[in-house]
Amino acid sequence: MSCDKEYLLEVVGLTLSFPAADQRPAKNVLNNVSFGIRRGEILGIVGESGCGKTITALSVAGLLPPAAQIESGSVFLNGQNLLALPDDKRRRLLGQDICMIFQEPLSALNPLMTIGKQLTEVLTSHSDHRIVRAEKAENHKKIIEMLANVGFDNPSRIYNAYPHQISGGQRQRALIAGCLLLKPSLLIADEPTTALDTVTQAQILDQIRRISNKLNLSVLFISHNLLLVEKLCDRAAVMHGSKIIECDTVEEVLHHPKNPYTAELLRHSSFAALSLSKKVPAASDSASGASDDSDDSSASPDTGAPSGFDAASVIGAASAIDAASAEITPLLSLSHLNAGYEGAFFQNSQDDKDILSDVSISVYPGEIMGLVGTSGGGKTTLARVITGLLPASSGQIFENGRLIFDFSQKKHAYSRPSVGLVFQDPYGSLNPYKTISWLLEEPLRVHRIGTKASRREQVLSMMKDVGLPEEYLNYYPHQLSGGLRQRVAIAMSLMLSPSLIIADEPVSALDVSVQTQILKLLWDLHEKKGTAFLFISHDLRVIRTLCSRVAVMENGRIVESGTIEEIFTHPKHAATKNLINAEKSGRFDDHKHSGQGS
Amino acid sequence: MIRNASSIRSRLRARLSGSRQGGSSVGNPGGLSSSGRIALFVGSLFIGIILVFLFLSIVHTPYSPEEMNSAAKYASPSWAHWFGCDNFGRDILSRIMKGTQTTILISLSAISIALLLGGLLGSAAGFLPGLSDMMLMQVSDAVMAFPGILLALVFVAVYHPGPSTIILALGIVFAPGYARVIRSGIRQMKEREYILQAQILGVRTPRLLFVHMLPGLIPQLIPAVVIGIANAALAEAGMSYLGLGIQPPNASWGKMLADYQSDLFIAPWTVIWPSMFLILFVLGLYFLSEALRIRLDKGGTRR
Repeated sequence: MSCDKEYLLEVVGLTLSFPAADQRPAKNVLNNVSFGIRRGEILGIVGESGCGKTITALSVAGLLPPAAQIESGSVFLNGQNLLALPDDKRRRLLGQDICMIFQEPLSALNPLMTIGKQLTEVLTSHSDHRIVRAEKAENHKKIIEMLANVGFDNPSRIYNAYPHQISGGQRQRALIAGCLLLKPSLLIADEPTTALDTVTQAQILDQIRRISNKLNLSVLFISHNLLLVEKLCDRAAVMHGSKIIECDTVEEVLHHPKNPYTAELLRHSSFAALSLSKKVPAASDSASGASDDSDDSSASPDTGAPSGFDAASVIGAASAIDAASAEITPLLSLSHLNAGYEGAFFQNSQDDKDILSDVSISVYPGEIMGLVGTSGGGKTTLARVITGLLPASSGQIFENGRLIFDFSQKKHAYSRPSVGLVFQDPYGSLNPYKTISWLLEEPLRVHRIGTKASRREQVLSMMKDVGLPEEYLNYYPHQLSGGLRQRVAIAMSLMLSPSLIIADEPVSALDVSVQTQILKLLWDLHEKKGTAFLFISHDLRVIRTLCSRVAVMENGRIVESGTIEEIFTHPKHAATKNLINAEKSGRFDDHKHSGQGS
Repeated sequence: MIRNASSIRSRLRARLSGSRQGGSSVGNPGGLSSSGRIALFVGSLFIGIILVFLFLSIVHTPYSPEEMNSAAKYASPSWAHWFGCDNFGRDILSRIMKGTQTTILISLSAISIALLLGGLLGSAAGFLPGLSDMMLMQVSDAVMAFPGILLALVFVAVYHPGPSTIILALGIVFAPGYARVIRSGIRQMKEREYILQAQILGVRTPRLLFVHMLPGLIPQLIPAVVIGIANAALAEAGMSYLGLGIQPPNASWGKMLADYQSDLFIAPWTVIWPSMFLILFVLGLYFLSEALRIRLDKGGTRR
């Protein structure tokens, strides 16, 4: 962390606090943070949520909330102290030299303007002279090019699309395109790919890497995902408890960690990278220092026996199922499902795209079936059709061999399949106005199961099953951390003891160490209760550890399905190969991967 | 778009003051900005004064509001008659106190009816599919497009003037506004994952609406209701002023303004005091609604 004159951005001894509210002592959110980024360098900041990563980025970008107080320290960009600049000058810098992309792409886009128009605005609002016609065409060309660069197959469709018409991953890519349009000298990326699937992630990281090399662009890359940092960055800084505890080249930090916390973090993320022969390490309680706030690992008791499941038995079970599948009735089977959104009133219906086309899959009792695919591929839509939230346009759903939905006949049997759904985002899937005990009791209450006392009993035993301490009974969701909330969400979907649970990316919004715990919880529930899972994910590592069979989805079609072993060792379809390659590809190297981005 | 600094900042502020970090929210959660605090103080002060008069009037008024006393005709404010007397020698203070009862009764009941009607219309429109929704909203737009007071006047003119007619008329006039708020709230919330989850778990529509959605709608509704009460009080005053509202010898603030306008130069106190009360009431409610809006907005960010 020594000071160097060639740094483009240098943060020296930055200490930041929020003023005390309600007699609580003022808390330092940043404590003597120092680091530097050289020109053309990519610096990764890793750490769990709440450790101060985002605040660091915001203080560099000058976007701190007004309540934040800078106690000491300075931020130099090109030798100029940003913190000493007047507001308007700083804001101008923010446009020209620094640009920032955020994790949640929906709120950063204006819902009333097409993507193309918004990107054009980026170009026009940052040029001083009036736009002439020729330039308009040129801008259009530039934007289309940039959209193609960030991995869109059909950039002109995206150009004319409104934000709600494209998926979350596509939105994020459009935003990144918008940022790169201005060719800034420093790009701050705050978890930019967390919401994206592996293929897109790889493309975007590759793109960032290439642009960084080409334009000598420095990047401050913030992530909780060590693997991404390893792939993308030159140097890495590890943040923990509002301090930078380690900062060195990626090799040094990730392969020879000096700080015990870094080692711990590495151990957790290696679970995600677990290959089939490895065992799952028990969620360790030594990560309890991970963040100061109510922390999962310290709060939850499920850190007990390292029951590590080994993959051999999974494979065994899978092949057993395969052999017997002729006799076993599938728990849930979908046959030839088609679904699409109807075009709006005055819209040309030619653009209607089929979200699902001819989807047929079966889930057998007691198995964990994986569903992978790139974002926007229709995985979530499928989950919604199965749970009865969205009607399909044709096709049938069978439960235990009994027809329960026939969309082609326009005549539905109005019984929902006994399926639970766990959403991706535990911040949105729990009613913020209700307590945990209320939320867990609600499914029983609605179906008039048991008496008040017996329901209470059931809630308590379920909380025990999912590793929620009893004391959280009367908490509101916003008082819990992400991991605990996801436990509540899982408990809620289990309350009616469905035979199948659809888990729609249940861990991708969580921290690495919490991910481990939640995955382990799902596995334990599967083992203990024999619940079947349809596990939707874009993360092949997770799929490979948990699932026995997997289906690969692309553009609304199931392109391939089979046992994990088959699919991963002998992928047949190009989409599957892409996914596997994207996952395998190690450190990004612009020479090797030059063709991949576009 | 991307670099709209203020929107990014406000989004971040929301994110920071909400409890993304699991309870250890930084900043000043639930607290009001200084302008919000002033609005809350002034609003509660004004409404407090009115409420004190309301409760006193139920227990006791200095004179009977309808008692005439020819000796005290146009008496100016004194210890015997604090606010003076009118052309019949009736005590202004007593009449204002009686008027407080009338005005608050009428505006509260009118808004309750409006909420009931609007809630029915709005939740139906929120849950029904496109076409029925559109038709319901067209009806409510048609009511909204017509000048509210005029509609109420027609209503009162057709039936006989009196408190219950006014209440009903104002209730109908104010209903579409609430229907809109409730409909849009429901439409937004229908896409929330926790509502979808409830549907998957088998919660049926009525329960979904009242138990799962209503707590989330209340923050949007409360400021609208508080403003609505103020507007209903103004509308009642306007109608009484035009002679289609409260009938003599009953008193309401608007009725007093109408009765005494000819005495403005002989006995200004007869007009000044009721106007003051009307202003205090309406302004107080506006301030309160503003303070509540700021406060509830903040609460809403906790998702």
